[in-house]
Amino acid sequence: MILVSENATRKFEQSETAPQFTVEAPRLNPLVASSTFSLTKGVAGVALDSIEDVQEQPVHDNETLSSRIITRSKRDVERRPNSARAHAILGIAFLNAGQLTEAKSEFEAALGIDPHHYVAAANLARIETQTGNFEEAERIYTEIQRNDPKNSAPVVSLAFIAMKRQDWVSAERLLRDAIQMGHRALTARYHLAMVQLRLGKPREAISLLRSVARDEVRAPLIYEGLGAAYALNGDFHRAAVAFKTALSLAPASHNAVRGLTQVLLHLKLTDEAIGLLVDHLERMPRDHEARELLARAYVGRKKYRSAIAQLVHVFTEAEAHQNEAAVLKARVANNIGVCFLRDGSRAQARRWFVKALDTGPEGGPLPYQNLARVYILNREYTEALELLEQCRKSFPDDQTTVRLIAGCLTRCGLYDQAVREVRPFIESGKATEELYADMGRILADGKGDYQSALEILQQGYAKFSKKPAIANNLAYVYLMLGDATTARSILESIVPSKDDDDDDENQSWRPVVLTATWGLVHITEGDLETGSRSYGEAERLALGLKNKELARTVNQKMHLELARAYLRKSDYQNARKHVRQGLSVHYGADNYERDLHVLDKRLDLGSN
Amino acid sequence: MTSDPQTQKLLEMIETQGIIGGRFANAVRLGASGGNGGFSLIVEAEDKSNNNAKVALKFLHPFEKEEYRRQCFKREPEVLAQAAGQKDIIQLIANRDEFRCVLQPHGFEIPFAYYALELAKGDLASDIEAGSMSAREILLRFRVMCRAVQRVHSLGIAHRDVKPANFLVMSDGSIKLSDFGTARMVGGGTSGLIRDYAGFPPGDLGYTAPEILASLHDDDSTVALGADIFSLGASLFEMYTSVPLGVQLFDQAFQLDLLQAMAPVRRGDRKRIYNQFVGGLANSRPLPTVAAFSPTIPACITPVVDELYRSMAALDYRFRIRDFEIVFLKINRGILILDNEEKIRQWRRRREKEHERAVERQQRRAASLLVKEA
Repeated sequence: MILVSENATRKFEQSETAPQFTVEAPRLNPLVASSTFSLTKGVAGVALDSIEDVQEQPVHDNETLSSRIITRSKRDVERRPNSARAHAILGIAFLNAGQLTEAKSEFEAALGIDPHHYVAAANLARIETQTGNFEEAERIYTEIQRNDPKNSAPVVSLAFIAMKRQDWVSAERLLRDAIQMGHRALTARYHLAMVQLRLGKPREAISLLRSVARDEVRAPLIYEGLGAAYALNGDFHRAAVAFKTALSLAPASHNAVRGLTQVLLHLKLTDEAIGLLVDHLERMPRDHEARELLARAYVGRKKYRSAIAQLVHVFTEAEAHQNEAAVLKARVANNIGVCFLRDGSRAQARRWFVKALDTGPEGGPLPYQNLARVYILNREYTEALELLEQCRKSFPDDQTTVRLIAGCLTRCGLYDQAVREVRPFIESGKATEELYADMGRILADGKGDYQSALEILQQGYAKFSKKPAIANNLAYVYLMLGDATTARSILESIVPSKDDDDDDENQSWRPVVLTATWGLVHITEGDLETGSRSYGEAERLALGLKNKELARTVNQKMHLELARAYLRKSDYQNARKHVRQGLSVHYGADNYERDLHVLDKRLDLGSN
Repeated sequence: MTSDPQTQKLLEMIETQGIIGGRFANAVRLGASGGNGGFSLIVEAEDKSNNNAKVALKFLHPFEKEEYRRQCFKREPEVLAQAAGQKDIIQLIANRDEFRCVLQPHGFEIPFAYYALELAKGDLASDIEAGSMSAREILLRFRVMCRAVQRVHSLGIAHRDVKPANFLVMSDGSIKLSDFGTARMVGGGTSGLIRDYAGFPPGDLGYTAPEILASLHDDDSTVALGADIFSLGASLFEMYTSVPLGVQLFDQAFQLDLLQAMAPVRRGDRKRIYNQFVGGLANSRPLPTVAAFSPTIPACITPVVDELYRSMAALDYRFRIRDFEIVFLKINRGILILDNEEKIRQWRRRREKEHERAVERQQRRAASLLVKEA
């Protein structure tokens, strides 16, 4: 058996192409303030953020549809300078062209002529909402509401402002008021569904969206929202149906393609997802998010070269456009590095991780950690530690960085320092399951202090019971203390998590280490043959994952434990055989090698 | 409207002409437009051969360089001649003629090409601007507008610039369709003035159908007939809301979608590609309700107006209403609802009360049955 550790898992992380689902409220009433929403499922529930659609943009020199409409509307204003309507129309033309400042001044001019001009007031309030001037927007909407109390549009817009302020309770109340006022109130019902999703009431949200879809059967945006709601509720089959409906209504919809792809990837229909994305990218070659998703799908199929080709395309396009966010470039470069590494090209991976760090050093800890992992694989521990220290400066609360630092120190034999790194997190109670497991491993395998390891792991097990990493390490410590019965009961209690993903490379170590631990249980119980078979199976599993380092460690550990077992039986010949076989393993684990040397010495002394 | 000094000078020259073409006297620039009609100059004059009846004289701006506009000016009287005697369409009084004037102090001759039309007192765009039309009046006027376009279509002509500003209001209050410069005979009579529209097609973008923006009429000239119906729907939307539909609809995202789908498509292949794309375009951009822009519109008429304008201005031209008789039925239904609004309200109230009474009766019966069973 081996212990679960950061080094053993070889966990190279790929950044997500967040946000998870992007949905847009149907613009049945263009004068209602609204935006595109991103829905991301996190530990604390569904996060709902609004993404602004209209950005301030420079005026194009060449004639476009918008500029032509603007020219025509300007001519009308010149003809009728005292017409509120002409100013309002020019304002709409500017707004649709993304020229918010000009639009605002035109709407203000219209309201200067006619203070009750509804279209000008509603659009001005929309601009104020978009630019984050919520107080002014609320003032205008309240004024509109006073002039026309039966109009539900300002109430929905006020609810939208409350949503932007994360005041979900007020938003819910206002939307319910709007539903009472409006005839069908589709926009209000749609927004209320979004609020319900945020408030952790997915069933209510789905029911609302279904009723909206029944009333407006041909609006793809509603089906996109419904698909996202189903997916966030874990009902991926219904989500797929909803997204497919959206796509049949609007075959070029970016959001529906992305949503359906994510759902298909969850349902492990990777080939269908790839086909969908390839078709979509033929039509929309500049959809970067879709291309990143295609790369993710290729990774799922272990077609790393294809994934790299897609990601390099995105990176090159992003580099060509200076205004593209550095975060995007850093994320893509990191993901290219991960793909290269999974494809076995460490040098290329290293180059891309460095590029990710150069592009966006503040983008996140992942590129630091992945580059450090490459250093660890190459046994360049000093470089790894220097880099991880840099990462810790930028992201002080990241526990993965601490795990990697502790892993590096352990490999260098600096167990006390490794314990010092991890202990503050354990003591603060903020430590994750993995950090408890790591601490147990360092104390047990590194320092040989099984009692302290047992205390820490029991503490962790009480907090994260039945989690594989911690349970495995706790069982291991019991085995090292000779208590096979307790170890067996702990291992039998491990329940596979609902979120476990067999194809997830980050979790692929689990069967290896658990099989190996079962091997140790059998050896401790005296069944050496079954124990050896279990270790052999674990080694094959590790080789299947192309993790030779892990396979070597498993093999070395098997010989160590068999040697110990034969020694307990006073079968020195077999014990010596396994010690030699264990020592013949190149690049195994340093601590196991050390233990084998100790055994070898004991056997030599015994025979003399 | 203000016009530049050069235009003012040209108008002065026309006004001082005396008798034009031996028939039209006392030319005076038109009050409403100041005599400036974009690429033309418009004056009113007296027709000596018809009891000094007032007529409008439309002159091509003598310094107009653009060949397309010169062609439009030449084409309008030709098309109007075909529509002679048709009700609801502006009538041609005198065909195209020309006279020359010497421009002083430069001493060179300027050609003034013109034709005479019926004189109108204003246009529908001005009435929309004034906000003076009631919901009922809008429907009545819209019925006439549809009739005018129906007549034009029955002659095999696509107008291609249907908008409120081109519906003139005559002195007797009637409405007539005008401005046939961009009109085209469908099926071959007259060809497009420009073979391919590299930039934008003629007409006002506030009322232009998306299939015209995608230049489908280059492949199939009958598409322009459906586009006229779209423009009528867009005009109805504007008459109720004061906002041109195209200004609201054709934002940057729309333009980007259209360009991405249609930019690389060759002539001859446009209709096929557009048909693949337009369904999604229409579904993802539902046409807004008129009540969104005009909350004061009578609630009883909103569904009828929405249904009517949405069926005429459907973004997907394949699902656009084609039959004017159905359009007239819908308009009449709207007028009927408006005329009987109070009666309908009373009927609804009565029905609701009857329903409430029926529910009460059922509840009483259920309660008595429960008592019996107990």
